[in-house]
Amino acid sequence: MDTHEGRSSDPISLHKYLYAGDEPVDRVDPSGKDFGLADAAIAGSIATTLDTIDLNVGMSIMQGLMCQQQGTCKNGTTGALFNLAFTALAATVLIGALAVLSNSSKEVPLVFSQLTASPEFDSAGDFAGETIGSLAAKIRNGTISPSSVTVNYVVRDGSGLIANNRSALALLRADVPQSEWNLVDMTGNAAWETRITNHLNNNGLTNEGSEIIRITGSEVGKNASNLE
Amino acid sequence: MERVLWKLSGPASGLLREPRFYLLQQRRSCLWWVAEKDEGGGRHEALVFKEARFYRFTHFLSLDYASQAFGDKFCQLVDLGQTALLEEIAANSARNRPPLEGLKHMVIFFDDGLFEFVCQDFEFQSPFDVNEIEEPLRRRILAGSKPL
Repeated sequence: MDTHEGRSSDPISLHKYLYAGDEPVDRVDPSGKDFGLADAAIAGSIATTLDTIDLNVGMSIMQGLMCQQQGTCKNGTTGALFNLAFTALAATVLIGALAVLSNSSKEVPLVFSQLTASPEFDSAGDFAGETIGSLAAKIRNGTISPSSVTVNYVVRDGSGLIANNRSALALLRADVPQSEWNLVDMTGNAAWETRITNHLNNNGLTNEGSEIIRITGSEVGKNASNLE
Repeated sequence: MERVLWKLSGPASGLLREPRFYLLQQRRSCLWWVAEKDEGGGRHEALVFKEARFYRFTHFLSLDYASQAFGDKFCQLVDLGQTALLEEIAANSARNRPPLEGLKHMVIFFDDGLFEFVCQDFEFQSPFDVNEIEEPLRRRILAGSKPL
């Protein structure tokens, strides 16, 4: 019998003898407390139909698939994902999050160093004038090679804190496997360490970083990112 | 003696558009950005520097270690007090014009790097009239009229 008490907002979850939201073909529920997609390819197919959608509006959520993969989902986490206005976009980035975990040659889980990111790249950076979405599109169509999109990170307390959060998001959006990412370990470099510290402090984060990042600019405002 | 004059109300990463430098009329310059409103959409904001006599931007990868120390004042406008640069700019200005009282050396560290200004004063404007950053001459040219 399902020991999860369920949620009043989701009547199916209250049923004591149903699991995976009564959709066992498409969903898995190993813990009995919550369910998620059985196959990330489903999310991928959603993403494929959205190639032309720009990331000016949206968010990325790594937490969902990570907890599914690790079996550590908190109640409501994955359910919340599919109630979002930007479900498909979230799914796109979740695919990338899965790659980060499973393919990391450094065996360091990558996390974001900030909670939010503006869609536009820095005006003084390599991709000035681009948005996350436009860069992802150029990576997809071959105009820009994934290897030219450097993702610097700094390792602290066992986590790889991403310093180029927008670059990582563009690669995720373009479905580039992490094995093809140009990951550069900048641990110990004063400038990059400072940048990471700035990001963390400015966002009230610890060295654990964040598995969730929201791209600013949603039409519905800051609450678009609120999964809790 | 360093003094914090102003700080960004939220994380810089939460902006819709990160700070960019522009020259304005009447020896003013500004850092302009777009903040995200709670209900969605953006709000133009700017730090406007008055009687700006010097401005400089150093990319964060090119900063020396001393300047990187400003990382602990990320997104905060800091008055550095008396500096060699301030003395030089003030002295040069005084040779060619009546001395300008109250020049200050201000710095602010955003994600891209460190912006520096030697100016008389600053003002935080929210909302900021974004038309100010498109100077009249450029607007006339864009409109198709002769510049002179």
